[in-house]
Amino acid sequence: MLFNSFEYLLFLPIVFLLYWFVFDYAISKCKRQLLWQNLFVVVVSYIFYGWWDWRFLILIAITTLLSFLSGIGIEYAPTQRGKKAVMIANIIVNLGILGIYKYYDFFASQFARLFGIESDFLLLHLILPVGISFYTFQALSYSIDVYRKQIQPTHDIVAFTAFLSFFPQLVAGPIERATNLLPQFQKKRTFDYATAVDGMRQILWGLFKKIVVADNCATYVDTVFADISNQSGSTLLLAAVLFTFQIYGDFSGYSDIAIGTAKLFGIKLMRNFNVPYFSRDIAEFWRRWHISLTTWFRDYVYIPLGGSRPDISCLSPLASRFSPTAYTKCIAVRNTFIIFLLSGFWHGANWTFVLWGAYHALLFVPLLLMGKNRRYRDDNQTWSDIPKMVGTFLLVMVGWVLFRSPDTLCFVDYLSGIWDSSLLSMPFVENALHLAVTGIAIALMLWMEWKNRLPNRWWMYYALTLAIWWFAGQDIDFIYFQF
Amino acid sequence: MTKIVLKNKMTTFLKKIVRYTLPIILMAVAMELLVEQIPNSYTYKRSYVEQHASSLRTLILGSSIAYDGIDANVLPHAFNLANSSQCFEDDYRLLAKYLPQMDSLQSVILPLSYSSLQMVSSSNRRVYYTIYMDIYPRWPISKYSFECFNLELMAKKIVKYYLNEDIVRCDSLGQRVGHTYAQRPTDWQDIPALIANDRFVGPAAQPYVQENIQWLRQLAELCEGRGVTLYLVAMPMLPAYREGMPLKQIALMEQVMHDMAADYTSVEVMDYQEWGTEADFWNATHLNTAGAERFTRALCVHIR
Repeated sequence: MLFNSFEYLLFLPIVFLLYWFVFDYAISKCKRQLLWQNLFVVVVSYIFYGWWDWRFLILIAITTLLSFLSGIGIEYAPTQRGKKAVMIANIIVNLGILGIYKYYDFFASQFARLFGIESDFLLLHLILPVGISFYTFQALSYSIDVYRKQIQPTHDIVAFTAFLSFFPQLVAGPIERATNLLPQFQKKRTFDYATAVDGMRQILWGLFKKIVVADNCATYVDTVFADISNQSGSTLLLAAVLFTFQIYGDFSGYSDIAIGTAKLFGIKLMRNFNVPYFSRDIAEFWRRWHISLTTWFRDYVYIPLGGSRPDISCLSPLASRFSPTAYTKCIAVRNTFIIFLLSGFWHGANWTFVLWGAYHALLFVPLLLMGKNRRYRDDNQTWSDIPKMVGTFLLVMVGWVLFRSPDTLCFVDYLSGIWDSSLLSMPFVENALHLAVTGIAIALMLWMEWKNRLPNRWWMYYALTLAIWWFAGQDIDFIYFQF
Repeated sequence: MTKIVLKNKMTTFLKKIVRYTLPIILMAVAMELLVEQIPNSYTYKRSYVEQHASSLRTLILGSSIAYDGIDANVLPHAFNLANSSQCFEDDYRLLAKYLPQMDSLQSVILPLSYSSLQMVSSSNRRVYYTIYMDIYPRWPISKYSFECFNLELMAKKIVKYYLNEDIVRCDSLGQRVGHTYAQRPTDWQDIPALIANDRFVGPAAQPYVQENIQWLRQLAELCEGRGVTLYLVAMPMLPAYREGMPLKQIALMEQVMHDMAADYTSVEVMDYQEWGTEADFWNATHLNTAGAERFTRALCVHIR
């Protein structure tokens, strides 16, 4: 079920009314009110998820059960080694499931290509379950946090299932931490008027970003990417810029709808985007873009690998030949590459995603080595930062072209197409009015986000609603559903 | 916080939601009622077929290549029930609905293009078949039940109607009007872009092939059951378009047509891919009005 679908338009109010009026007010005196409300969340979340394909429910149920049991297993394992074994077993099984569904066919076809053999008999042709990358990582964070004693393992399978399958964030994040979300299902929720109104505003804003900004950019971008070789440099550049805003509008719009929806139910989800296109360097960009994923990799991969401050108290004979500073830097660079490559690969089974991750690693590492990767940790951008923001934007944009390209050759064609004498010509514009409206929508989005505002006047609500309603017929999927 | 305070807060919230949504709902209802009164090609064609079903001998189905390319005026007791982006499922449902009333029907003409097998009903069009042709259920309510879910199309239609523009856009026997040689689009020769922009060609549309073959087969079975001949016509295409089309795409269409002819005695295949000159075309894949008349006369020779 998509957030911008007719079905969701009916689903959400019904669920909202039942959640508060039946499973809160009506049974408020019932001792098991929380249990029933959580159970209701599980049922509606499974309906939401199963709407795509009921078979997907089996996988999420398996992941839920395994992760739930891993928490208990870690709790009752008699030794530290046993606890670690349970955690690792849970990681292996869940990543195994993810690996089979998402990556098996890719590796099988690469293997076949390498040895020049027919690949069809090797492929499983499995349908990628929607959101598997998101909920798998969410499940893994639970067992790792239990092992690290950052959270008590829960014995309440209903609350745990609600945590893992909570429908607003199930299919495209934010990837929630158990430490944030699970406790919210373990205590009574209270309806808060201001939060609910804020949630509605955020849903409206998210729909605007998705339908008015992203989908309108998509109509131009898809046309250009379908026929790159016949486009002028200026057209390719314009499409690259529009795709940069498309992916942001699409993904952050989804996150806004998810977070806003959760607010209606008294649940607080983490912020997933923090105006990333106003970043002054790449390091800042990665603190502002897809925050739930980047912090996940930081906390569960980068830091365990040593981060940028590895343990130098017991070095291998080879490592001890280097100075501690050089060794530290080498490890930091290695770890940076690992998380960026993994992050790229997380997005999909294609070398373009891996190269995209490598590209960002190459941009990040110089800042890391110069110790400048943490210099911008505020929201105090000024007019003098504009050149830096533009520079960062352009670097990120090149990465998005690679991200969008079906293969690396296409990416090379695209870039070489931009650097052409036709770069100075007028870009192809089939519908100038449509493009102008898209430009205005982008400008509005950037301005509101710069000011950190949500629409808060009646005329804004109606203006945005009319704009959303006007463009709602385009029926374009969310980009991040493919991950 | 007391239960009463909570209840008041919820009541305030719900009142705010109602205050927000009520004008939108009223506007949507008013516009829906208005737009459903406007005559269009779907209402016209439905009305014509329902009035003349028993006298029709030839029925033309299909997408815009049929809507533009077959002139029912040339054929005796014929009607063009084709429409833009009409897919095989739509064709099947239309025929299934009206066949029982068509006592005199002898032939069904179904033109195919290179992308026909990948075409499925777009949600915009499906609304029209639901509301105006009544071949899909309107209830339970879905996004296809009302035109008001697409404000842009609905508003443009209302504005055009009140500016006295032709919404029906077809002649009395269902062929599209306004696609003469002089009215060709300015980019009609941009073949690579036309192929690249065809949303029905390419990997994304491949899953629909088997589904469409099934609908074709059901159409053929319907015709076979009534002793009606189903003419599958490979429509004329500009040579430059044919040359730019992947060979696999052309081969797929040809293979399916020949398989159908082999499996069903009621199916006859006619290949007119190389018919015509540039003067007959409105764009690379559609005939203009004069070309359609010429083409239909050529087709007539082979239709019983």
